[in-house]
Amino acid sequence: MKKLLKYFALFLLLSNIPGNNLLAQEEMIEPAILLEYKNVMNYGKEVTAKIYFRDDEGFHFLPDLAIQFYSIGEEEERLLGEVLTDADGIAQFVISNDYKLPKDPDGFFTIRAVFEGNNLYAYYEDEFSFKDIVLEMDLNEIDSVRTISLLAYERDSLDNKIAVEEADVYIQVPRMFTNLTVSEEYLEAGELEYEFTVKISGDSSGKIGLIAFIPEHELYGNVEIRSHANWGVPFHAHLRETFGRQLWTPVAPLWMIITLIILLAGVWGHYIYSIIQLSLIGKAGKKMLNNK
Amino acid sequence: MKKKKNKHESRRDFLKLGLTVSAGAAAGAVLLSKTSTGSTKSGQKVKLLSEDGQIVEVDKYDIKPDLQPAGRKESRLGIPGRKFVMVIDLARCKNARKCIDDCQEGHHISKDQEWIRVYLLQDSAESAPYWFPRPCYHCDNPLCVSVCPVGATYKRSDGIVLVDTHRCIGCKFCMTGCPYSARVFHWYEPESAEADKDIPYSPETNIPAREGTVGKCVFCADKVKNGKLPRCVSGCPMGVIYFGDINEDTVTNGTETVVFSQLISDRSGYRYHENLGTRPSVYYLPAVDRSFPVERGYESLDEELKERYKNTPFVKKLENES
Amino acid sequence: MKADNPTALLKRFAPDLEKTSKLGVAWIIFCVLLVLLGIFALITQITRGHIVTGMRDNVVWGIYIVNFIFFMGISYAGALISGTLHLFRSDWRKPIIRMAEFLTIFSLLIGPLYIMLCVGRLDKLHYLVIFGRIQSPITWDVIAISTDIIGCFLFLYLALLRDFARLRDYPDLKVAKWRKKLYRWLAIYWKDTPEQRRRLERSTDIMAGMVIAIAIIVYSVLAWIFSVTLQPGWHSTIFGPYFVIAAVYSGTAVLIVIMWIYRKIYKLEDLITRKHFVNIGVVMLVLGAFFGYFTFSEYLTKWYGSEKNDEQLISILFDRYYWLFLFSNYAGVLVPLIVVGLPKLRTIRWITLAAVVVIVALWINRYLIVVPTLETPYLPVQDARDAWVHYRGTWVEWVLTIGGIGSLCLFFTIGSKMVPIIPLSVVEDDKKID
Repeated sequence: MKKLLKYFALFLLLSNIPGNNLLAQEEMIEPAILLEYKNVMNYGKEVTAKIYFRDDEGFHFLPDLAIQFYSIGEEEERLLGEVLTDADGIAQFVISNDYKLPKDPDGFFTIRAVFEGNNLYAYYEDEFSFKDIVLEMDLNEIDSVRTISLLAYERDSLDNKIAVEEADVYIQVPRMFTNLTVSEEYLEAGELEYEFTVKISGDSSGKIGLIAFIPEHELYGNVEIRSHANWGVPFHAHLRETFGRQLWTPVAPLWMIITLIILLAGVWGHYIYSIIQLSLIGKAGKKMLNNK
Repeated sequence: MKKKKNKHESRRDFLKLGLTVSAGAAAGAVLLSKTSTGSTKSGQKVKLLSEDGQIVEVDKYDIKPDLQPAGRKESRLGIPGRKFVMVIDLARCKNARKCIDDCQEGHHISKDQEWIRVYLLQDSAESAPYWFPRPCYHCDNPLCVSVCPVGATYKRSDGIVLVDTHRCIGCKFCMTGCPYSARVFHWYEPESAEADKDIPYSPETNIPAREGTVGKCVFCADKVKNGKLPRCVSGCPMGVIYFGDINEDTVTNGTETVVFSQLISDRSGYRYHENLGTRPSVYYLPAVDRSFPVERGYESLDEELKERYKNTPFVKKLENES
Repeated sequence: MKADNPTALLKRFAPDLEKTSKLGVAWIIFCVLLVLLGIFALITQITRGHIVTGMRDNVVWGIYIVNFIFFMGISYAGALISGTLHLFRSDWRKPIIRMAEFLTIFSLLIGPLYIMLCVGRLDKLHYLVIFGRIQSPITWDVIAISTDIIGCFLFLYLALLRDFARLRDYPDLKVAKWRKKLYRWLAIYWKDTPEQRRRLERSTDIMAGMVIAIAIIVYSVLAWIFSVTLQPGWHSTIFGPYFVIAAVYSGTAVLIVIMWIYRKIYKLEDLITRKHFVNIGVVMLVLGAFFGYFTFSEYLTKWYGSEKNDEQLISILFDRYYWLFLFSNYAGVLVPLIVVGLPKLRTIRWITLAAVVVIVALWINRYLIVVPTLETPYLPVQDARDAWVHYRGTWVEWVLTIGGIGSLCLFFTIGSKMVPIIPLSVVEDDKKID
């Protein structure tokens, strides 16, 4: 009896599952947004939203979805723009540094990324709040010592400069895919003098890009300033050691072509000689036939 | 929830162009310099909102150069000034196989084919076993290219070795020429052929694939030209694979960026089978101080995948012990 | 001699040219069926893709390339035997020289078809000419084989010329009109004048030399397709001469079998005697000894040095391929050595039997060069589906192999229906001169 009951319970449970599954299928997929922020002094605030969902197979990044970026002030909610995600599920939005974002009394601005949802994916939003900062970088050669001078400060409502109290700062060189960190330094009272002594390859004139980067500051987020100088080691691609015997190039080595021509000429010369003999045989026979 | 009540219909329209909408044209210029692979001016104009709320027109490619995979002719040229190099850290690989999955998905290749494979190598009975991911080595002296009778496979100035499947006659000589078994053959009509048939062919992706031709790892030439890392690099959860431009002497696995020569010198990087003289563009870091015990890469596999390693000395020993 | 006076030999062979027996017709139909079967398999391969073969990503070449090597090999043997024997003016060669020439040209027409079967996109085959790269051994092969085919045709034609004239001048030959016309056209006014004889002799001498030289080049190029790669079993300096010797060896054996068959069918016991079998048998013995020597040094050096990858190869040859290896490289060498070496065994039957052993052994020898090497690459075969690891020829490949043999038989049958299988003019005229 007990057994029977157990089976009955099991049956109920099982018969329920397909229904549940059906319901689950009709339910929307719940995506998430990974929101990243970087304040680039040279042009503006880069806001990157990456929309995805995760299942047993891993992460799925969703292309061609509209992400709206709002600026949230104390009283207003301003739509900044709408961007479709690319093939990797990324929607990037840049806000010019001259653009005045609404701020709260403490000086924080808030950016919200919103996905409205559609018939497949559910609504999702995420936001962050940071303060504005100014990071200045000067590149000088002081007594032939290459020096990077950094200055970081906030401006209060009266436009006074208030030095940033403390922050980690990385000295970086931009590379093709990512930035190479040359040194990890520390900003004290918003100032740093860094002597650039590293040997690093640049372009043919030694030009390299230089970046000062404050990573994940609790008040300011990621902050970056870019510049460039001829401080690298000049690199000449044509001086790179090349490999002599290049059979893989489109053109064959000369000896190979010459050998082939000699061989072919020799063989075909004999062929032609034989064919000429054959035609002479034919001619001689024809002549005999005509003479008769 | 607050559902955008204040949306301007007119404003939405031009913003909905599916581009990185940036405030001010200056932003475009900077973004472009990030991916300096040469911009193709499309002449296509896009409307943008500037900082003072005015509408400006900017060339589409100034905002975000999204270089499409090149056709057959252009893909024979490399990216100027670049020379790609890969470093694989054997100490970190635990055969998670994400590189394989992402590669197969990204290049629309079937599960029968691996452009990147993970071997379980053990140099001798007493030496330590290790997982060994093997992409195409994009050799500087590629025998596969030397032996091709029709010039279907070629090496570009940036070091990438590609196959033009519209030129390939399928003689498979390159497959026997490659000492690393890096090339695969389309033995049957590719499963993706029907779905991909409208995509313009590019040797940089080998999409759409053709039956009776050879395929191989392309160092994700389509991604790289847009400044993005190859799929196996970005897909790896362990950061095993580093990629970069050897002219810049820098490689990255997406999270760490290091000086290539420094890495090779500090970790005693080497190339596989240097004695063959093929001069690969892929370096390995020996499995020293490894992050995972080697058996973890085997035990976490499902049965079908376990089968693939059943003849390796390490697995035989493992099975005997248990 | 007078042109309108048919010789005894021509009279003897005329019936074979004029009509085909019922058994002959059945034989031809059988051969055609084999060829059609091969065509069916080819269509299967083209429509369903190379997946119908046993070839996969590791063993990318299989039975097809073995057949390619095999047919090219016997072709070369024909060229070398007919060429050398002509240049040496050896008297006993005369009755068998046409068979050797036929063997050369017919197998040369079949061999290259097999490398085309390995090609994934036959629709792109003309790219070999349009986009040919001189650096690639396949381009060398394309040039060499096409040169060889033309040279062999020329040589064969030079040898056939006087027989065409005889057939033209034989009024009682009861064959279709088009054939008579064809003989007349092919005989290009051959009147057997001293001038014509001189010219013919000179060009035949030259072409005999050419055919020998080209055959060596063609077969070396074929060997280099393998030995220029870095594969442990192929990257060998002796592959060129090794392949050449193996080729002549297998070809001599095939010639012996053909001699035996024609001797039986056409009742040529008076023309092809035990002497011919013994003489060719001795050639086979010498070649067999060379072949054994090359095989031995090839595997001895690999085994002795025991480089890791060589060791792997040797170990599977003596494990999975043990019996095949034993048969091909021991029996294939020792059997002809014993049979031809011992005077008691030197009979037509035994020599032919030894030749059959050699043919099979040499085919397997090529199989053991191609397949086990591809199964033991530098990087061990791993991380691939089990079914994709080992090679086993499928019905498509075997049927196409049989189709190739069928077409060789068909070519020979048609060839000996068109012209006498014994070179009449050589056998009769030269006797007078000698």
